[in-house]
Amino acid sequence: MATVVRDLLRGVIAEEAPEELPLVEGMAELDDTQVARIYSRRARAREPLGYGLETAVAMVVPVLWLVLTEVARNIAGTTVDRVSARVRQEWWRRLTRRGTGTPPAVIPPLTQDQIADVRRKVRERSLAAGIDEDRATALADAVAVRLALDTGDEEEERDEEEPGAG
Amino acid sequence: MSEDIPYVDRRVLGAGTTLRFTLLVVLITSICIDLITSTVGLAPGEAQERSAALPWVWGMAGTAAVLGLAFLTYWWLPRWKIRRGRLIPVRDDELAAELLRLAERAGLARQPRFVMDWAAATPSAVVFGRWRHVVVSLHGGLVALRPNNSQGFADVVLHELAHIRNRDVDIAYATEALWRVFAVFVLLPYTVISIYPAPWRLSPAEAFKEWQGHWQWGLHGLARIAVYVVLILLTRADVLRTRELYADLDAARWSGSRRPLSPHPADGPDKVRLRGGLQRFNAVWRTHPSWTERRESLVAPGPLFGVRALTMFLTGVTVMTAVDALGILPHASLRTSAGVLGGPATWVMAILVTGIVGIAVWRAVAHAVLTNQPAPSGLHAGLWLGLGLAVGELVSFHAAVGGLLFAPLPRTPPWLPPAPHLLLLLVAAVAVLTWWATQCAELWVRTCRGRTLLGISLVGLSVLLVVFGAWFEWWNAGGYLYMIGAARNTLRESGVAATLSEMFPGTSEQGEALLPFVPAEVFVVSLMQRPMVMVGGALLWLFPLAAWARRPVEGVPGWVRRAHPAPDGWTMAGSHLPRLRWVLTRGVEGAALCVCAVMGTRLWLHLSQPPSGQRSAKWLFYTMVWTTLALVCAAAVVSAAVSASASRYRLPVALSAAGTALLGGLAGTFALAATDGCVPPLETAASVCGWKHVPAWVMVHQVIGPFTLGAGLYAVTIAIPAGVGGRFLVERGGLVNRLAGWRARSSQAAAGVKRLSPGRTLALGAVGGMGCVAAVAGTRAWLHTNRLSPDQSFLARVEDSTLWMTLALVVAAALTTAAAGALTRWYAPTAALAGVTALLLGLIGIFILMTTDGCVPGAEVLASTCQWRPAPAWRLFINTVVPCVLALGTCVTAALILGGLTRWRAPVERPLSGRIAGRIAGRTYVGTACVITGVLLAGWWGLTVRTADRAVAELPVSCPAGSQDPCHDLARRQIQLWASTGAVALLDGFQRDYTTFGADLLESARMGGEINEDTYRPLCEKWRENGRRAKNLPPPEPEASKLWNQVAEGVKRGGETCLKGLERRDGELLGRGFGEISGTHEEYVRLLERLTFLASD
Repeated sequence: MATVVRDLLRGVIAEEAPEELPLVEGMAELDDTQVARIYSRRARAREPLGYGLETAVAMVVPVLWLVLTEVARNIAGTTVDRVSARVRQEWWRRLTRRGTGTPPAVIPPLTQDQIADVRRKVRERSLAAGIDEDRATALADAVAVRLALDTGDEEEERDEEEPGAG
Repeated sequence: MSEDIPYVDRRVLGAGTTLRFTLLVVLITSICIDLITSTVGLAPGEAQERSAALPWVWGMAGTAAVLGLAFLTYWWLPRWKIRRGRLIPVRDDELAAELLRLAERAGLARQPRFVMDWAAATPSAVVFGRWRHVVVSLHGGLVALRPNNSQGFADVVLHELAHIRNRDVDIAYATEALWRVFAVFVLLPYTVISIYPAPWRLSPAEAFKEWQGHWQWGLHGLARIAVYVVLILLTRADVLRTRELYADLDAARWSGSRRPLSPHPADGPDKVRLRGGLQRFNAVWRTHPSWTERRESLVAPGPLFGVRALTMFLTGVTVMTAVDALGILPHASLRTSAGVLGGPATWVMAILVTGIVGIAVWRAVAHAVLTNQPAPSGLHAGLWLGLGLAVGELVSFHAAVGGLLFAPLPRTPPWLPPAPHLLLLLVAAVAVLTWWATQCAELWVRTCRGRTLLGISLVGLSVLLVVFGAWFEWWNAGGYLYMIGAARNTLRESGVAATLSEMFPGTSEQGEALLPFVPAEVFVVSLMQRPMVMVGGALLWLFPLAAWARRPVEGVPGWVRRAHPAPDGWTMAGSHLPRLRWVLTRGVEGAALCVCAVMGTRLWLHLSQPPSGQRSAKWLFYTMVWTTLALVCAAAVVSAAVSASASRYRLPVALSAAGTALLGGLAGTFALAATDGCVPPLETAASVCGWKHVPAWVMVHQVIGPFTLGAGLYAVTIAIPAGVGGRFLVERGGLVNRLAGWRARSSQAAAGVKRLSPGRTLALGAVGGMGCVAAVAGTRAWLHTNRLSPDQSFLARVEDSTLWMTLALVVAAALTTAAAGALTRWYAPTAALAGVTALLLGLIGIFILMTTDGCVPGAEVLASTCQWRPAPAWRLFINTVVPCVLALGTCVTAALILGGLTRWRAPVERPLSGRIAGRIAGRTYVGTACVITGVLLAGWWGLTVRTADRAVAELPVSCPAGSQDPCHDLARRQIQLWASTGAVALLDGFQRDYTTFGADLLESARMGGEINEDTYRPLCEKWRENGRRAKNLPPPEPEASKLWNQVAEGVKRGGETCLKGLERRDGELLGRGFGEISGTHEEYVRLLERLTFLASD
């Protein structure tokens, strides 16, 4: 069974960084494309009555979100639309103020090598985002374990189905 | 800043940032009106024809549309921000509860809406919204930070709540909305049109050609836009930075933490500290202060109470730019005078400037007093403000382009006005005024006993508004024109001298001498129309003086209790007020100097006065102008000397002394004018001795008094830095040490002065008296050989000889007094006795010399034969020499004795006197000074305001179109027509006869009281006839007509009485007739002024 990226994210955050759970809930109302757009937006200009701190803190949610959606896209082989069509769609969506209607990203069952690759990516990106090494490792492990568990469940289900079929 | 400085409650006085926001809004609005109005002129075809008549109406309508759009933007901004940022409400119950607690701690009446910007990784927050709909957005980074750093979380949230509490949100976002709409809908199109003019008419190739031809003008327009943008951004950032510091301070007060959540710990190396010039340059554009500044201001908030140079500078530039932009409006125009009080828009700008500067100054002073730190001088802030005003005047290119009104349009636009150096006057004047405001604030804060400073600060701000506003209004209405050379000449040509020459033909030596002194005839004319300048000048000395009338502060005042963290241990350190007695003594000495100056002026005027019978109104005018100048100069000397000798509160003390000196000087001037003619060498207008209080009062009440006590004090204020600068130079040059050594020696000596016995003193006086007699004899010899000629009349020879003999006597007596003083080490009684003895002996000597006139060859003055003539000599002596000596001698001796007694010691500073008698005396003096000044100013006010109001009310309702000022034109033409029918000849005749009659009367009185009927009868008959004739020739204007009739009736009646007196051979009746005529003098002067007003352009 494929893993929904959001579920995986929520599980890992609840376990490793519970203080960021409100942020995961914040993105619940948006679809994946909208979330990706907000994350890719330029840094906010300094607001007139803002507090004025511009140095970002090391946060787990954005790192995990970006890595996991990337994995989902690469492994699932998402088709790339033509640019003009995408631009047209985007404008139509903005005009009608509707969501993109894209289905939530999912990660299909992965091989051990793929899981190891994801684990490595999570760790590297976390370190690059300023998260300390222990926490980065713990995060990468949590992601890997969840992916492995989901893959294991899949294999078990397949094993259970095969004797029955046979 | 040291940590020992107590943490003063910042709410001791308002911060003044709302006024700065308001100024920003006014600036954007005025630029908007200006740009739209100028763009409408470029509109194509029919639109241009339609709009050409009233482009400013389009400007106003366009600005209203921009304001409407800005309001809509402001209204929709919160909703748009929430939608665009995908902000979500806070759903976490625990987080919501904590936010609620924080909002309660901040004391907010209405809970804001809390949302979360979950994607923002910064540990920050932001507040936005509109009236009653405020939203606090928490960044994801802050929410993630909360479990590990709850204090930091609370700091950030409380900071945002402080913005709400301080009402920053509404005004900041309203300004933001206005700026954005203005930038998109006005600035951008205007820039495009500046680069590509008239796109609807010109092809790109044609436009390029046009641009090539007039690129300098295009660049001029672009430079203006650049100035506007830079100014708006800098002002906005500066105000917002201040608001951030206040929010930090409030958050720290609520949370109890003085270490804000910042990127670098305060104890670590600070990477944010600004080092290079480039970083400083970057910092002024940022809406947030540097973290170093934020941390430091939490530990020691002193700088928050200080006056910031950048704020002052930006305020100055902004105000001038807004004034220039609003100049495009016709009636509310700032650059033209709109009525007696000036344009309302000028006063709005003056209110903003004085509000911003005044609040900053009062806060700084209050903080200094609370923390027992030295109060700021205000000079630094004033210099920056003045510099800002000057730069604003330059970058708006107003004077530069304004100069083109007087010259053909050049190919390249001017970037600077023809005389930019005159802006230094602007800088200096503003600097001195701010300096004055700061010292007055300190005087009043130190004497405040109330629970709050609000009341007295409002009084102080109002006074500053009048003082600064009057001057600012004058500058914008005409003062700035001095920078335009051509305009200056044009205005000079149409100035006072030209008007006077036209009205009263003929010239005089004094009139000529006046010209180089008054290159600012326009200045005088524009001042004459501005009674607010008079009020402002009076407040310059009365406001600080009033501080001495207050009750002394006992214990800890209520306002200190409310603002100081530990009020019980607080005592007022620093300097107290100098004693009022010291100030008044300087004032009395100054008054003596003023009277001397006026007497000197009258002596000089007398030397070349027109012959009796030719002293016209023009001569009277010159007399008054020179007397005014003499008084102001003397007061300036007094103020410079007092400011040099005072150690603190130099400006208030110097101005109080100068005002007192002027009051005394005016009393002396009144006495001299009322007794004009009694002391022959001092005679300037009248020829008959008598108590002429009515004309004297008119002169002092309506002209000399208001000018000296009002506008004159502005001039006196400018002299004060000379005194302070002189003292500085003396101190730097080491002279002060020598002076101090001399003073110490003389004060030691004063303890054991060398007293002379009366006999020795009298002997000293006798020696001095002999010197006096020798001086007088020498003078007579000099008069005989060099000065007097047989061609001169007897009367002229009497006057000349009296003047010079008196001068010689008084100088010799003064030298004797000084010598006696030096011998006795300044023991005053001995010096005075010796001086008086010498004077008396000198007088006896003069009498003997007059009696034996003609007996010493080579020293004959009046007589050519030697004869003993005690009777005529006594008459001459009593009538001429004695009054002269008394007047001059009293003045000089008083100045000498007072100077010797006090020797200009530095003032003793101590708390205000608790003694009731001293306080009552102080209050009485202050009250009297206020009343006298008020009465004197009322004369001027009545003359200008009432006359101007009546003139406006009485002008015809319908006026011919096509003229710039048709109504006044009409009245002027009517008056000119009337004058050409012989009215001017009548007026001149009256003046001439009046003075001839007076002179003849004096002459006959001197010759033994013989009345020559042949001389007087024609005059009396002429008066009677002229009076009758004049009643049939009233001017075509009700006010002037009324005065004219009063004068005509008085002259007719006087003529009739005079004829009766001749018939009955009754000298008394003759005198009464003359009295009746002279009784109309007040009406005569008012009539002349009224006619001058009506006939002027």
